[in-house]
Amino acid sequence: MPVATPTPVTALGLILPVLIALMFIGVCSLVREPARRNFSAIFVAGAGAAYLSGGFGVLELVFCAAITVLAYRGLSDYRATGVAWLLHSGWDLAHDLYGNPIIPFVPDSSFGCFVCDPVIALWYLTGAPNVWGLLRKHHRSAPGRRREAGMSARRVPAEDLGQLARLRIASVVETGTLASLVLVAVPLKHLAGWDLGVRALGPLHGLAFVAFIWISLRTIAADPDRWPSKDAARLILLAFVPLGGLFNLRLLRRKAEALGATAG
Amino acid sequence: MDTYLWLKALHVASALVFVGGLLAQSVVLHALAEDAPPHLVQAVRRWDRLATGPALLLVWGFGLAAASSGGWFTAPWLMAKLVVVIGLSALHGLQAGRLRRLERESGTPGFQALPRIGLGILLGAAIIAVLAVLKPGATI
Repeated sequence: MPVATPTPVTALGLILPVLIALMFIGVCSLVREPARRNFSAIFVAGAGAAYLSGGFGVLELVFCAAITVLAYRGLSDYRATGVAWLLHSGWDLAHDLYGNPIIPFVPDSSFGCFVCDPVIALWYLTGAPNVWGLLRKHHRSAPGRRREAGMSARRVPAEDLGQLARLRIASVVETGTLASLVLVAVPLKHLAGWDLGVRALGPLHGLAFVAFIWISLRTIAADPDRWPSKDAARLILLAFVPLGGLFNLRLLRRKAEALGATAG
Repeated sequence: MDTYLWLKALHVASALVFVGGLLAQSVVLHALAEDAPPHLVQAVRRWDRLATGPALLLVWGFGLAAASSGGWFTAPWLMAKLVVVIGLSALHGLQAGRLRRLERESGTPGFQALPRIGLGILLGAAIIAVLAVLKPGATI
């Protein structure tokens, strides 16, 4: 079957891989620790060997070895698993352009993995939290249940902590997509005439940016006393700088610690 | 029927639910800021969680998919529409936060210029409708 290179970008071709990534995250969240971390490391090691006969000769062996090392580190540190998935996404892209997809009978499979893998990577880079646990925490702190349980309606640390956790994830996703767009996709478009990355990452970053702004404003408006103008401005302005969002993580951790101290 | 029309139809349906919820949020914040009955604030927040919030997510998901599918990303009318949509999305985040605060601390003052915000939402929705239907500058 002739393979179109690069794979044409379609709405479905972008949405479906993201949904698959979200499903993967949902299922993995059901696995308890430390099995989740160990499984994740073994899984990415397996994925690293998927292209062994991918057509790039000795480079395929080098890539496989690099992923194996990262997977080994991943047994004790989720960040290594996240980095391995980011590298895998790059390798997917290379094979999509080369015309040798990861699943030989599915021509756009490597492009799908290229979109799917960064979503998974971001989850691992934020420590692979149990998403169902986060949702339950939010649900448990719903006002009706709180009042029924006779808890104070004045302070809601669990809900506020959940909100800060969501803001942290939104910040990492926003900054990650912006960095990929500005530092990788845009230079490749202008230097090599390759615009696939911009067309794929542009809408994804748009969605991530709006989600980040929405969650930020929701957090700040709910608790303006804890968010002086200086902190609020810093949170929003750093979202416009590639990788700037990473500098917000320490601020958000500090806010969570202060909130935890108040709750205690 | 092709995918583009489906995406566009679902985008419009989500937008209707979202704007309805946004207006309700706005009215409640204006009317109840002084002395908010907790059950009403809870009801609006519940509606926000179940309908308005998910509708916002769907508006963006289907909107971006439709724009990508129709090849509209470079069109000036879409850029102008995006500015208004980002404004309304940000307003929803701001109001959702204020509602949460209102539920927690009764007596929290509402937005001073809230009636104008309501008008702003309606104006924004009208601008979006005109831009999306007429697509100024585009050859349809």
